[in-house]
Amino acid sequence: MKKNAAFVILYRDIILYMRNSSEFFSIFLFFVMITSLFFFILSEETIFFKKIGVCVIWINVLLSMTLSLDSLFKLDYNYGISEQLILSPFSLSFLIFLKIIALWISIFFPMTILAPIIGLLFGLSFHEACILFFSLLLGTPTLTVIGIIGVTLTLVLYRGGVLLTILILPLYIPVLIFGVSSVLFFIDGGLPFGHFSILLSLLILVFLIGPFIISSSLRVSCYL
Amino acid sequence: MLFIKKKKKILNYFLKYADVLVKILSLPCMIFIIYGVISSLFFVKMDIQQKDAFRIIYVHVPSAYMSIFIYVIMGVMSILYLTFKDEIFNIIAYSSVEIGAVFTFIALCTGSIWGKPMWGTWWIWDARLTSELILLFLYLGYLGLRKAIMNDFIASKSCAILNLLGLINIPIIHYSVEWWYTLHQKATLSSRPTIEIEMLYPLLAMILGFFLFYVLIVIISVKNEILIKKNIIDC
Repeated sequence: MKKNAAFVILYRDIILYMRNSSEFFSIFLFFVMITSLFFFILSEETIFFKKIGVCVIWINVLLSMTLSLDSLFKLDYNYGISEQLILSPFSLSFLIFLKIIALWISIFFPMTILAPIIGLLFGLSFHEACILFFSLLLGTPTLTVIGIIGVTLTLVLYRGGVLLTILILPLYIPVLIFGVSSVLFFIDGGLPFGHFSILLSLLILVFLIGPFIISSSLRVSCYL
Repeated sequence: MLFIKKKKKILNYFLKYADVLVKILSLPCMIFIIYGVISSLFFVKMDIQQKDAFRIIYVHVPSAYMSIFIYVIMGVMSILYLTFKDEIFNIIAYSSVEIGAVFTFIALCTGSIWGKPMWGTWWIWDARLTSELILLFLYLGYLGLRKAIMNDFIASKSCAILNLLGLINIPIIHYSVEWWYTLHQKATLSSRPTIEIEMLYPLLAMILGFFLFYVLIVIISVKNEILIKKNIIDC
């Protein structure tokens, strides 16, 4: 029974994100466009072109994430699906966990694949792009959970977008620091296992406490 | 709103003793701050390397302490509010935010004023400064969320959750000078202070004075909040 419900939620969310194609593609388009804007500003003679590229890609992943989260999670709230989740016999944190997974698989995993390819345009070598991919792979789930916490806190607001960014961008900073510095460290010639283990530990920490925080704030937002 | 009617007792108790508390606390607060200001400006000897510029420490350090301390107090209040659901904790947390934000701002400003002649730059992105700036953003985020949500119940609960999330930043600020190699010097006050005793006493007095000042302001603004809420119910 529980397995079935889990499957249904995962399947429904992924299908919803895929079918809502305009929303889906506009996020990627936003990401690619805003990154390509930087090519116009920076010339390749800029000293740290490669390193700036890494920073730009990380920041843009973060920005497009923040922009997309608001509209995506709000649909559920407006159609009353959040209330249904709360009323269902399964534990809310488990369902939230599934929803996080679904969101990450359908939107942010494609973005982690797309980002290193754009990184190649910034002159990263293949190995450096791989490191960028792994840093994003370890970093974006953490970002997703933190972002969803912010979204559930601002669900009641009609226009919570700007406030959302103010709330969650400070919390993104540790992930950003270690994510970017792992790639920069590799470019300088080291192996960034330390950075990766910190990213991984952040991920585990956030997945341990995140669903509980999200479920309690969702309960607050739904007045239950 | 219902909570206030149910738990009117604590709030009434608070209202009753707020004025007395303010009167009792305002005298030591004044004494500490006046002693701190006068002795730090006139009686403490000049530092050999920094000349008179080091005297800004007597504003910078207490306000930086307070900025962290107030956030921790708010966090404790948020935990108490989420567990006991008593309105007084929520009100204390809410009325501390603005004071905390102002103290953080003062700490950042005085730090950069000191930094220009000493380090040669207004601002540098080292760990201590950046994490303090993040603290300011956390305060402002709390304030923004609080003002944006119209429903009082949802606003206070959401803000409490947000506040608890932001508590992660506090150990980062405190240990930033030890974890990273930074331009900001290590802690001056510890079990074995690295400061001359003569310079130390005014600093301690200023810290105590700032703390009492915070308590005073919080008591006054909590009283105001309670009166406002009561008025809404009575009307």
